[in-house]
Amino acid sequence: MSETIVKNPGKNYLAAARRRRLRAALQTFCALLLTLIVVFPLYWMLISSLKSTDELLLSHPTFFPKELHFENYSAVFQKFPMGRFMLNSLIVTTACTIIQVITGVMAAYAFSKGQFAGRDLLFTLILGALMVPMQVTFIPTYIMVSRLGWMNTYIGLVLPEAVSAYFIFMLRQNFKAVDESYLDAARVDGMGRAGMIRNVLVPMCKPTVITVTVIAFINGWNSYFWPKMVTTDNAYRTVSIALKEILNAYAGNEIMNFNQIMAAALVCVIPVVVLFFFCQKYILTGFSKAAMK
Amino acid sequence: MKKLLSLLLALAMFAGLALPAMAEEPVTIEFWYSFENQMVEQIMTVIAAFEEANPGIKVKPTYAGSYNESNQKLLAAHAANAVPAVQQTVQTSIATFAENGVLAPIDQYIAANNDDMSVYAKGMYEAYSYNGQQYGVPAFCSVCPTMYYNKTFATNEGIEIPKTWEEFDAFLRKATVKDENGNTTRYGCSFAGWGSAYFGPIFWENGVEAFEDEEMTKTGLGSEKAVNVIKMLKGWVDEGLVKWCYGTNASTNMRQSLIDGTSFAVFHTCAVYSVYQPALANNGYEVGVAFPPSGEKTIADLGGSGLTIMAKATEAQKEAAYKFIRWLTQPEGNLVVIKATGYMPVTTECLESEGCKEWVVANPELKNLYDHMDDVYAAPASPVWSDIATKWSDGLAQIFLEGVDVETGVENMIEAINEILADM
Amino acid sequence: MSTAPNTTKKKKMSPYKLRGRLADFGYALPALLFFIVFTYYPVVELFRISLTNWNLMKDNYAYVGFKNYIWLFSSTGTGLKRLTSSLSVTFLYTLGEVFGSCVLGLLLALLFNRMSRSFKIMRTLVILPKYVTISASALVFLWLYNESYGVFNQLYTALGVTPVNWLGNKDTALLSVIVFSLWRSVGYAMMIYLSAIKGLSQDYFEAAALDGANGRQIFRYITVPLIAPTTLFLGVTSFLAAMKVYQTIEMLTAGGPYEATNVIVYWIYSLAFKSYRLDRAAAVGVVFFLILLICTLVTMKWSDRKVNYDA
Repeated sequence: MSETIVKNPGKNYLAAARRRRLRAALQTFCALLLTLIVVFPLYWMLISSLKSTDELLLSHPTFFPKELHFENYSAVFQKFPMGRFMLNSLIVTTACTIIQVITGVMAAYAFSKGQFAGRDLLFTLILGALMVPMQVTFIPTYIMVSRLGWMNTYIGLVLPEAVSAYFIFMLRQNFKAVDESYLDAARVDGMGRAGMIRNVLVPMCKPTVITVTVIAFINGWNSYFWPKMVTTDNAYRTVSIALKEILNAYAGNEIMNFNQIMAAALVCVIPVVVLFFFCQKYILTGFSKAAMK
Repeated sequence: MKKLLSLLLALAMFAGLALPAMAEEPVTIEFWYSFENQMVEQIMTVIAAFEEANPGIKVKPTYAGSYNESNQKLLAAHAANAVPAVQQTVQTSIATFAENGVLAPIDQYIAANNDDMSVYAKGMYEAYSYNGQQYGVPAFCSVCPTMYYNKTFATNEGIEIPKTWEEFDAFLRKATVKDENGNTTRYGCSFAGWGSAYFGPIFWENGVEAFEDEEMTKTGLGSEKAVNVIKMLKGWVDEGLVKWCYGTNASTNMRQSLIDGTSFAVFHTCAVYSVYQPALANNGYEVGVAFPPSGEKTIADLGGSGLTIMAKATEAQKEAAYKFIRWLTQPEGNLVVIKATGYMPVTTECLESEGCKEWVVANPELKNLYDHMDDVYAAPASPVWSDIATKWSDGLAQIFLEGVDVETGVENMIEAINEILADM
Repeated sequence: MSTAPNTTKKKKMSPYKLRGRLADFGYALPALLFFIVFTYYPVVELFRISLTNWNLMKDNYAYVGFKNYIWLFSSTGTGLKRLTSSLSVTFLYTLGEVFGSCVLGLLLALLFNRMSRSFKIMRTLVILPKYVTISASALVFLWLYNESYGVFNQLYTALGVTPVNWLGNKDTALLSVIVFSLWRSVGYAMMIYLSAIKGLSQDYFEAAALDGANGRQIFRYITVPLIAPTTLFLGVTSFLAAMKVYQTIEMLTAGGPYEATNVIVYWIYSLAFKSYRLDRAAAVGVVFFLILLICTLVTMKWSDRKVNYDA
């Protein structure tokens, strides 16, 4: 809300000040209420995972578990290779992110500072790719991957998502803004392209690079559509699709076991939430850049 | 590029095949299964016994996930020319897979081994044939629907389980409990409206035919007899005697309702006997099992899966696979399955074996099902049956749960089904 | 070699420069190759498959011309009906998502615009849902929406209201899915709007205040128009993302009940992997692609012309 300019100081001043305090209190109260509403499902996930089956099915819900049943967690870890799922997610996401960063930085350099024939024309190819989602290309890609025998392999999981047009686009904007003089200075110092990228462009655009990398990591961790196509074996499932399989595994018995399902969900969610809290600063500053596009 | 790859793949395959043949190594057959936990160890013992009796064959069993997952994997393997030799295939996929050349017909191996396949229950055996050829043997067979009921309530309140549909109405009125406001607190029976295998037989028993012609191009699901059945069911639903379960959580909710006593009976698959029995016992209830009531016919649908051989396996693998699938469906293997779940015996040999007789003595309820081993038949072997079944269950759910009136509901449903048939 | 877009005046390039250009091109090559193999080739291939009668299980297929498109667009047969139904579901979902996140995002931005520490914490919590895996959060919502044991219905019963079968009733299913999506996206929208509002020059507000405008007028006539570019950005990105929705539907409703939530990507997936009709799936995929293409181009043209403030 915009600030009200006090136009009549004096005896109305106190009244206005009181009104402001009231408004502020109301604002804080509403904000708090809304925050609680938004956080509620996550809170529910937590407490459901700690309830016993009987408590889970009570017709009058309890908002705090009567006893803490940590065995729901051990039960899920016993039934499913949770560790393996996390490991797969880690491997796939890390590999994807690294390749995205490398190819992204390289391409961003080439399309912003590089000089070669048809540069801008070729860049529209990259832009075009932004418009074509996996949801359109998955059928032929699936056929390609299954024919090559890459189903249920890390390469099949990583390769089709290894380059991000969005990454290239964002970085190119930033690289373009870097003044030529820095690059000229670097050239004079005898740096090659790799050197220029590593020592000038990336450091100068560090915030964006970090933001986009963190977001790429989180999105990779949460990626669902393609991994689902390409894995049918628990040995290669990532956390994101494993959760759906866990739900399926309880088919028909979900209700009695929702505490375990919630436990699995919570375990899978924690790594990214932790990452999110650590990298808040970068993610949130990314918003101001996005908004000013 | 693709041609080169397939050429390389073919060469690799040849190399892979030629070498073992030359060295006269045992034939290895991969077996993709979907059963779980309780059965795994015991079936492995049966498999080990098979390997001992057949020194030239090695079996490599792999858990392939649920039926859906296993099918998906199989199709990918089929496309990549890297199939297992044997798969535990859900019965409803037999028609489609056979039609599209994924499965290998086993008639030639039956003849070569001079096998007498009449030991298999007729309906079950037929379920794994298509277009006059046999594509597998039944292995994990269930009766759908099976009527599970709360035996404790039945004994305490003197409720008798109906044997015919004529008796069903009176039964429902006794089994349903309502509170002072007229709200139902205990349903007489809950029907699994999401699966045609579970509610279909209600229609078959009352003389309805899925298809009116041999070629399976005209549906009988909108016939007069069918409409009568629908009206009968709708009457019960409207009166609060029956719950028609449908939707995402229907399966788990319906199970729960029998377990905690809010349903007197449910129509479900016999394969989950081993789930209901302990769960009800946990709440102090005894579970009863009955074959669904008869009408003009005594019939139920066949659920579950069988063992099939892949068309793209090698000749040597197929021969070995045939021996394997026969072995697993002999009484010893069959018994493991029966005891661990609620699946049926698939052969008369098994039914008459000592082990089975002991099992029936320990679980007398199951006799009600085993007596009807020959009354279970598979759903029509039309490639579009599952699409039709979806429209059927959608249509019925609209009539029973969404308040659509019977005439309009049936009209719309038949229209949708006819579109699918025309689309073929 | 065509002229490169730079300042060199020489007509013939020295080998040094040539190598330089090639090296630059080399840096772009991996990305370009990737997109050719994994984006452009599949699009062409998709179109090719749509002209066949390929069933996922068969190795062979024949070219049948535009048969699948005829199935899709002719008024006899099931194709057109399902296409229009699927498209309308998708558009409804998209509209709900876009409209909801823009409006709620803006409202939240106004509500949460204090700079105190507690507000910062609250804002972080409100964005959190976006970064929680959809799989996990959909599971919670499945549990919350459960018609017999979910908290929402239990609260309803406690208050004496008839419980609603959120995900199983065709009238409420899509709405329930939209609510879930909005839960995830409003925090993000809020942050985008907050950053935009913070970035507005104070001159406008001071001038307006001097002219005697009150809070509401300032909001309506100054703030909203000034953040129009942000609204456009948010609208376009959430529109494109919402059109592609799949996982949310798969986890919550599997396209049901009675195809009330059968969004187009889910339909393509069912056609390909449940009905095994790759050819039809490809045809629908091509149509979907063209729709996305047209929408993107239209919004690009529109945004170019529309707002250009020097703020």
